[in-house]
Amino acid sequence: MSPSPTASPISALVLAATQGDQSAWREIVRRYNPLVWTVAREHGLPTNDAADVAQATWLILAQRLSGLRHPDRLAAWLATTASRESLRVLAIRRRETPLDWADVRTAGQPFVDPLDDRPDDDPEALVLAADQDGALWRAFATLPRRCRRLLRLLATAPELTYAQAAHALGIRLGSVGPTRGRCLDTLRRRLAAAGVLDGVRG
Amino acid sequence: MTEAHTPAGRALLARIAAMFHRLDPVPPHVQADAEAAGLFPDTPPTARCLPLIRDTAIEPLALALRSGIGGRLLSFGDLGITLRVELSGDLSDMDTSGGLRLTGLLTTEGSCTRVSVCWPAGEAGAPVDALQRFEIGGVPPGPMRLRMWRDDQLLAVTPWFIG
Repeated sequence: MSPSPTASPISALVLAATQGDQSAWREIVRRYNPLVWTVAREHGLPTNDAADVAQATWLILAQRLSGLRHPDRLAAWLATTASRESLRVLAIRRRETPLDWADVRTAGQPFVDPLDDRPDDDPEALVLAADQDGALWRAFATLPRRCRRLLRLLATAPELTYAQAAHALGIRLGSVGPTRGRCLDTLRRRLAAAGVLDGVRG
Repeated sequence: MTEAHTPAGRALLARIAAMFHRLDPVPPHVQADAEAAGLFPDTPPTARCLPLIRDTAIEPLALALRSGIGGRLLSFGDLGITLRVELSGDLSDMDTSGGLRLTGLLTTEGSCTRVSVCWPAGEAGAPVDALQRFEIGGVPPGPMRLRMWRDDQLLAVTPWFIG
């Protein structure tokens, strides 16, 4: 595998990692571990099983890194691999009940209060940010599960194509675009109804 | 232009990403394990990688091959070498680690003297008997892969899988 003149940064990182550059590997992990974690969690896995899926996904990548045919599509490769391993764990554990979003705080992952990792902002802005997170969370939790899964994946990995997102979540390709649009519309309406729309405008 | 492709739509997705980063972040030990995966020793180019052929967790067999409780059968193979291994709860070890027991059968052109199973934090092995069977107990559940040896020479490895 040799980089082309137009190689994307991720291709360059993959090439460096295949040559033993651990800082390149860590950068790949930093960029894409949230995607791997999201795919596992969106299959309804609790923390311990999602951790196994994430670790297996990265071990498989390390084993196959030098043989990747399209390193520029690494995000899609990781999403597909994490999805396949998640389905395997679900089959092993016979867990069919999806994660209840209302239980995220007790699903094994300590709840992180938005105020706990406060930067050096002024307190008023922090309180406002926390309120907006809470309002967004409450509105998000009312969406249908297919909306929550798709929006979280696309939010975490905006570089995924619709085909790649559909494959990672096991949904029909033709439904991704319309579902994404409808779900965002619905979320925006619910936030507006709650009087917090201004807080989620970029 | 749909909502999703407007600046406001993209901003809303960015807010969702930030919210999950706060409320369901990648745990620190998961991040550390992912970084450590890049340090795992490479497989020597002389060793063959045996692809997974079948996993009864995904494709249950019509007939149980053994009477073990909760057994799961995985088959790996390539030209000239196959490995079938059953993963079951290690009842003999339940009081200590509650690990897995791996019971396997090899079919190879040449002789294989030992099979080992490695996981990110350790490795255990067992000799292969005259009928090319082996048994390894006390294996912690989680990602693992098997390695087949002829004396000190690594002949073949399986891909990583979650046991």
